[in-house]
This record gives sequence, structure tokens and C-alpha cells, in this order.
Amino acid sequence: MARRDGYSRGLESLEDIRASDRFIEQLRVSGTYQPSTSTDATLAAALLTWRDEARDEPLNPPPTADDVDIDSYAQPRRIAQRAVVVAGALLAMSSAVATAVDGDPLRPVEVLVDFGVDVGERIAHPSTSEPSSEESSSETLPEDIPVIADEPPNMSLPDVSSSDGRQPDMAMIGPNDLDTSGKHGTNQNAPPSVTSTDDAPAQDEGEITDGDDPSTDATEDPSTDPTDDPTDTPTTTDDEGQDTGDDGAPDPGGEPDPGPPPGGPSDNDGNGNAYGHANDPNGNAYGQS
Amino acid sequence: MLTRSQPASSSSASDPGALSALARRAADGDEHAINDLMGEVHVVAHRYCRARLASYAGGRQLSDDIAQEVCIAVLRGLPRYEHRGLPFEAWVYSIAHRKVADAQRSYHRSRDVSYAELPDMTDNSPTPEQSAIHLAEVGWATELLDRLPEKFREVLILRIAAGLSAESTGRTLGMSAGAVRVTQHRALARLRALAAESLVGEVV
Repeated sequence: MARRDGYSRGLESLEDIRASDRFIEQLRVSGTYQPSTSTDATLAAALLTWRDEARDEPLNPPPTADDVDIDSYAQPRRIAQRAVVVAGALLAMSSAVATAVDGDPLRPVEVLVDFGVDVGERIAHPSTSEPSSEESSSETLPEDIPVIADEPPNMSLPDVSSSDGRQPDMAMIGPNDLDTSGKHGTNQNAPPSVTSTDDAPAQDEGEITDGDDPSTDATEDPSTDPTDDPTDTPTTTDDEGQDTGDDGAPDPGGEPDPGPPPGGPSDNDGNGNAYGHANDPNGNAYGQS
Repeated sequence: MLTRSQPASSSSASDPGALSALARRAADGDEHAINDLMGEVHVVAHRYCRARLASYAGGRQLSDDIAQEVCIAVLRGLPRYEHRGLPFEAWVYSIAHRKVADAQRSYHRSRDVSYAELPDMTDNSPTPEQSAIHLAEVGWATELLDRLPEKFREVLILRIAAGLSAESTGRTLGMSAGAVRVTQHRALARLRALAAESLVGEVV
């Protein structure tokens, strides 16, 4: 008897496997077996009884096609076929409508479709389809705004030798006037203060000051036009200080950043930072253009 | 020499692919194919369930019910069978295996078993003594089989009780016929050892 090593770990031989297969086949088909030992005979008898028990006739016949709704079998295929048919019909219809000319019975359909497409585009893009010329022009920045980010930061003190001894084009507000300055920020008609050289913003800023010190009324100084004198960049840095955290553009509708506490040491450091109005005699000024 | 009357073995096991072809025709809605397929599936499913539940009280009715459930599940799942890529026998076996496991769990949760209505007719069944011997043999065989590893037990159930060939058993379990023969040899060796151990214990 040849033993197989390796694969079967030497435990089984082909002859043993064939003998077991013959035993199983006899139990499976014929039910006749020649036992070699008493244990084998007992085991074979028990397995035959167990097999006969398992092979008893079922109590109930198998279910038939009538017991189960076999019409549902073809349902997925029918759905797919219907989808293909509907898609084809829609495609043919759309091509026929798209190629309709005047006098064609499908011409009104094409007109309706074009109208629907137009309405859909207007709904999808209301800003581009209905431009409001005045509002949009008033909300957009003028094109002659100098690029603030390109200018080097002004680390020098602002010019304190102006006529009234104040920083030009700057309103003085107190810490309690933050909401008022926010109201000022909602002035939509005024152009951004970066390029503002007219009187209107200065007058507004004069109105929102608390008025404790009459000398703090803002007056317009023509020299504050940044386009005229490049040394007037503190005016623009004030706006940046008002809109800290933004991209540098002024936010007319935003609330002013209160910044450091009024009267604090950072107010007077004069280092040209966002709140650097060191020339404020009261020491409570915030950058306000 | 042991000789026992031989019940009809399943005819589904012989032709590899014949059952799958029948299943394809049944999936297309061929009513004759459905009935033929159910005849084949019901026989094998009933034998498998009966072999697994032979020692259960009311196992005859229980296995009959599960065989019906397997057939209905196969009928309802036929449209999806094509996409699974399994042999049809393996698919049916997975359904039957799951149904039997569910029945065993519910059986152990609730011992309420429904029995068939007693017929008002002459009882030609074996005598109580014969029934006791029969039940003892079945119970002993089932006990030994339950102590085998699952793979060994499944191979012996499909080969002996369900009457499948080695090739069909391999298709059902995802094995080659040679692997089935090696596995059944090892299962039989283990079963002989368990039987000898059990018989020695009874004598002692």
C-alpha cells in the first residue's frame, strides 16, 4: 500500500480514500455494505437508518408555478424594456421638435420649449439674466482704486502737522458709538472711503462723533487724496484697520471692528498698525474714514 | 452483509449544468421548467433538512415545512440567480443551510412544535419496539454527525442522505470532486473513531 507524503501528511493513502468512497457510494446508492468490524457494521446500520429517515417521502408536494406569482419573474426585464422604449420615444420626439420649421405642426412645441429654456435660464441665473445697471454700478468699486496690498506698509507716524492737528479724513468716535458707526457703514450710496475725496463722507463722520470735543469734527483735507500724495497711505490703512480680517477692501455694510480697548497703550504706540491713530489727543480714536 | 431497500436517489446530481440550464429556463418563465426544477430542488432540500433535523421532535413536519420554504425562496430568487455566478446547487444549498439554521434557532427558543393531524385509519407504522430501535439508531447517528466538524458533516449529509455524487457535492460546496473524496474519507475516519469511543463507553 503506497502512502502519500506531504500533501496528505502521510495519513491517507489513495487506497484508503477509495475504500471510503466505496463505502459512501454503497450507503448512498445501494444500501448494501460488507462490514469488516463490528463497529463498522453498527455505524453502517445507523447511517443507513439515518439515510432512510432522511429520504422519507415529503408530506407535501413541491410548490408549483401556480403557488408563486411567476409573472413577477419577467418584471425587471419588462421595466428595462419599457425604460428603453420610453427613452427612445423621448429622443425621437426631441429631435423632431428641434428640427421643426415654420408651418410644421411641431413648431408651437419648439416655441414652447425655447420659452421654457429661456425661463429656466433666467431662474437659474437671475443675476446675469437681469442686470440692474444702476445698482450694480453703485455697488461695484471704481476701477481707479489703487491696489493697497501692493503698497509697502507705512511704518511712520502720520502727519500731525495738518491744519487742525488731526489725522485728515478721519472721524473721531467714542467707544459707545460703535453702533452709530455701524449705521454709518451701511451707507450704500457713498463710494468706498478708500477713494473718497468728496465732502459727504466727512460730514457723515462728523455727525457720528459724540461731539464732546468740537475740535474733533472731521474736515476734509484735499491732501488726503491718496492718488495725489503717496504719503497719505495712512488713510487707506485706516480702512484696513476697520475691516480687519478681510481682503483689504472696505466693507460699507459691515460693523466696525472695535479693536483694542479705548485709551489703551496700543492706541498711542504710533506704529502704524490698523488702529494706529497715535495723534489722537483723546486717545480713544478708532480708525474711521 | 448489510442490505437495505434503496430509496430512489436524487436524479439531479448526475448532470453538471443540467440543473443550471433548467434554472435558466425557469427564470425565463417556462412553467414546465419551474415545475421540473421544483421537483428536483424539493427532493434534495427535503433530504438535507430531514437529515439535519432528524433527531428533533416533530422534525418530520419541520423539515417538510423548511423544504417548502426553500423551494419558495428559490422560486422567488430565480430572477436574481443569474447575477450571482454560483452553481445552482450551491445557491440552493446556501438557502437550505440558512433556513435550517433559522429553524434550529427558533426550535431552541420555543419548544412548541406542531404535529400533523392524526389520521383516522389503520396504522401500518412499525411497532413501538421497532420505532424505539429506529429512533435510537437515528439519534445515535445524528449525535455522531453533530460531533464532526461542519465541513465533514455537510459532506456526509450531502453524499449519503441527499444522495449527491462527489461531483455534485463539490459543486454545491465549492470544492473539487477529489477534495470531496478526501474530505469524506477523513470524515468517515473521524466518525469511526467516535463510534468506537461511543460503543466502548456504552459497554463500560
